[in-house]
Amino acid sequence: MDLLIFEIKNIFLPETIIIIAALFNILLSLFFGKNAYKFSERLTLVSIIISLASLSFGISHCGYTIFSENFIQTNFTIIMKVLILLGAIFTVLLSQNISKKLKNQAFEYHSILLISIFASMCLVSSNDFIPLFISLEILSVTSSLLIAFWNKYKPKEAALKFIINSAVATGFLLLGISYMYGISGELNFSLLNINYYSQDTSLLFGISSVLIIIGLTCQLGCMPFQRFVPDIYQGSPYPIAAYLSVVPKLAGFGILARIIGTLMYDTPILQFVISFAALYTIAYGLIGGIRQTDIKRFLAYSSVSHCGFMLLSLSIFSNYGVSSFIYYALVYLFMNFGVWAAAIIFVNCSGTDNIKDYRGIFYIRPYYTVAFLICLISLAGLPPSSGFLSKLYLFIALTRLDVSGLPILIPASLLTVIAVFLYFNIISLMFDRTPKNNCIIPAQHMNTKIVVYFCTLMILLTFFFANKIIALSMFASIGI
Amino acid sequence: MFDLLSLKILIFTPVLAAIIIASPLFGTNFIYIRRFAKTCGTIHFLYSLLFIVFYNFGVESFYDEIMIFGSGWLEKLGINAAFGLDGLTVLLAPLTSFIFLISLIVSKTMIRTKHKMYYSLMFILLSTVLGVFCSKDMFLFLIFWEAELIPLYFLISEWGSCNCKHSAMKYLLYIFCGSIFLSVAMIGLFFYGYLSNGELSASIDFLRVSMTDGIFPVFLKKLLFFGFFTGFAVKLPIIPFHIWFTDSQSDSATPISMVLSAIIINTGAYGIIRFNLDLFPELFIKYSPFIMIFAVINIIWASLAAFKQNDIKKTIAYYSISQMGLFLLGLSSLNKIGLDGAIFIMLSHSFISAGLFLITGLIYQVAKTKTLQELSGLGEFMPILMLFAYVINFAAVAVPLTIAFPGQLLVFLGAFSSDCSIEPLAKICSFIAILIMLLAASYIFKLFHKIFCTSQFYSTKKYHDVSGHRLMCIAVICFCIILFGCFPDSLMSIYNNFTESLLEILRV
Amino acid sequence: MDFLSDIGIYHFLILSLSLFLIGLFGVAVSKHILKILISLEIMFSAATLNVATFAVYSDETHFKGGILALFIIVLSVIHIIIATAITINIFKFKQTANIENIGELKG
Repeated sequence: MDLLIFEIKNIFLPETIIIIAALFNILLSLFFGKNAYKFSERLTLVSIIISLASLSFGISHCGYTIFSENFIQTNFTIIMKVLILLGAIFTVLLSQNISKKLKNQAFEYHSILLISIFASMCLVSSNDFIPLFISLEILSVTSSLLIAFWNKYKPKEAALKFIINSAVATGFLLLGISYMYGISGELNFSLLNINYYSQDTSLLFGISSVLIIIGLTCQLGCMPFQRFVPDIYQGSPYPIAAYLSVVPKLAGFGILARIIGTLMYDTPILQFVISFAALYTIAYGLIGGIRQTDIKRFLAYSSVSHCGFMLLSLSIFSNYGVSSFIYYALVYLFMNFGVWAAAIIFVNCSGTDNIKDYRGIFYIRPYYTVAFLICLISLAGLPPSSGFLSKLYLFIALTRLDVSGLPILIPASLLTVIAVFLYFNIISLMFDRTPKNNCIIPAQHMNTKIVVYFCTLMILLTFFFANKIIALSMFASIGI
Repeated sequence: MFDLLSLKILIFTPVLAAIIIASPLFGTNFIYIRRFAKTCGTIHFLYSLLFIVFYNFGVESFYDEIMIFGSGWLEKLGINAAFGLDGLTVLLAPLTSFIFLISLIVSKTMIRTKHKMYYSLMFILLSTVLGVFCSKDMFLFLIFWEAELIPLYFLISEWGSCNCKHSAMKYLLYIFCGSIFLSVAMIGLFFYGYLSNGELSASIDFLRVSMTDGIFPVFLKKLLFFGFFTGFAVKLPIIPFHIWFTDSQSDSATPISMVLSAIIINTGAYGIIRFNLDLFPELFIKYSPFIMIFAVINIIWASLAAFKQNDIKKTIAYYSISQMGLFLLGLSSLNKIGLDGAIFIMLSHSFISAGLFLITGLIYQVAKTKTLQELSGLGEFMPILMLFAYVINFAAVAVPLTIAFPGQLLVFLGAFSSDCSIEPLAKICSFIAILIMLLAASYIFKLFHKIFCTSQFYSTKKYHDVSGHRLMCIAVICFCIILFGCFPDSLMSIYNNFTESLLEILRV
Repeated sequence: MDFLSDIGIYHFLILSLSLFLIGLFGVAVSKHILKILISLEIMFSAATLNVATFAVYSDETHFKGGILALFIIVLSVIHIIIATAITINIFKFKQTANIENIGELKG
């Protein structure tokens, strides 16, 4: 009992707070009337901020495993949890509109969101295949519930596609886990680390690793499960799409980084597999996004391409790779929430999803357009935004300190040219001379505006103060 | 700690001015914006002149670094935000500021909409170009190089005419593609510096030392050389990558064309000197016949194409391309005369093409057309403009006592007497180049003759002659052209040490 | 005959692999949503069988494979429940459960 309290107090505190807040949300929905959605929002926001603060308890206890070696706390997991909780704060801020319309059901919405965040945090810090599987399942189930929350038809179809996709991926993951279990008889990462694989089992080890990676890529939106990502984002409501494009992906990448770091760092053939998948994903995302007219599908394709880049950074099995992934993930968080928040503002006032209705928006609301412009430039990877630095760091890490990374570096860098073309289509539309609609952006979307301007500010700040962040990410990548 | 004459101030005050202009401080009162912009431009230009005055010859001076919280900007990766000036850039920086000032003054009547955005974008562009010239670190160079893309894209696409959006996108894609080659080559060079020296640093001096001391496989050196060369070849337009240049020039507004031709091209030329010549001397010597051939193709193609153009701006754009061909010819000659001439052409071409585009802009304002067929007989109404136009005309064909003459003379002398590996090639190339430059004489003369001298049926329209600020701008440019034509040594003595150090590297 | 009469670990492994592939084929080919869900359940059962096989045929005391198998069963049921609930919702809108007819999102 003492051990349990010790573990919870020091390491598991953030997750505990989130779960208690989720339970409170469900409980309190019985007692409140119709207009209590604001209370639910504030409760959620406060609980996330408290759990973010309580992460500091765990900093001095790095390397500890809790719950009989099922979860682990390292520098890497702390940073991923910080990113996940930041993403959660942005999501809650952005879903102000939705919770207003949901009225009483807002409690359920926020509690499912909190459970999803709990599952992401557990996923990142899991040290064994059982909690990995459970957290992944909870994450996909709650995400599909969040998608299907609305009372129209499109979210239901999107949720169906999402859940069938994730079920198939979970099937692959389970097959891989079972073969890994069969080779070594152990499910724990720290015990699997002991390399006693003989020559007979190395092929099976490779196959099971590939199956596990395939199973995880559904959450990441990468090949081979990237085909339905644009449909899913098009069907889901805006804040949920923003949430889906960041938080489950960061959690999935976190656990993939941990698996690669503990299990697979010796097998070079896996590097080849992962980099090939990553390049295909980048190409799919960039080429698919060129002819899109719907803003949600466009942003979905762009997030697919960015996930391809993050997967590419993980395919470098070294410290530089993980540290470039952390920097890219941080910048990706701010970029993505910035553009989705800007899209939410626009859709709230003009009511359409079409990209062509962004024409001439600079002359109606210049500051908002400039913020949107900076986020788009960061997505494209041009200076002076931190998107450029993250890609530069990625390319530097790709060379792997010798010439063997060149065959992967060259296609990746050539694909970024398409990225510039992709985003400048929208940018040139925004600055076009004749505004086609009278989009008067009302003044009350305070939360969304906060998110947009804060994300833009962070994009510029992480460009100028990149040294500290890169030092932090290098420190985090060592203890993975 | 806080010097009065620091490069950080030079490079980042235009950004500050841009932010002030873009902020709600000025409202939409464009008169105040214009005056503020012109004042800032003048102060900046005078400040940059101080750098020449206090320049220590032969010693790299004004070394400046941006420190954030006591450590370099990206010290973990070995990238420091270091700025410095040497013999060449101490001339290029004030030149940049000067051309920007002229275009800011001229844009009083040529830019009629969206003043706030225009002036802030111009200042951001000024800052990024100065950053390209003054940076002493390879990745910092890359950051400013790529940061040039966005302001110029907006400048071309917003205030241009007819096809400006397509031209702006063409510009963006071409230059970005080139800079991808550049960034891959830079990353490769960065890591070879690390491998041969054990220290992770992207500073250009460090890389030069590690290139000479380190052991690099030759195949890799060739790849890096080609990567760098492609990246710069797109910017300094080398046929066949020149399409973005001619299209952007014909479709953008006059001040932007001036800046594009006078300054942005120079960044490509500077890049070739700084990276290809400085860091890969043996490869440059080995490939100098090819570079000479590229140069001659530039000259021939551009001069022949300029004959058939109907659009005045495209003709002048091709003239710029042929001048850059001359620059490459001088570079590939590998002796002091050629290098001196090449750098002088870099400077002289700025003035002349700025002047040519200015005249085009003034004509366009008055006659509202750019096609050659519709323009004639303007000399009757605008004698002063005709006078300055012919001064620039003579300068363009390199008449002595104008600024182009010393440059072209030195380039031809150097190319003719160059000791490149294929002996007759040098002589043939320089001979062809001289012949083609005679052609240059004819197409520019033909252009201005058609515009000004033939008298046609436009007598019913009344044209005003140039006056006021436009007259002042064009007069200043012509004055500089004649002044530096009469006293070229004033410029050459400043970069003399720079060329000598380059030659040292080449001989070694 | 030996191979058919002495049931060892390989029999279970081949069985579970073929079940998995049958389930995968079913997901890829079926046109009715409930058929897809049943094929998913077959896939999960195959994985459970795999895990249980390895748990039995390895000599370990903690029987972690058994725990994993139990969890797989529970969580696959949850997955299918949620998917069925979504299917019911889709049926309310579209009166059909054929995946060819319910596509409204582009692509």
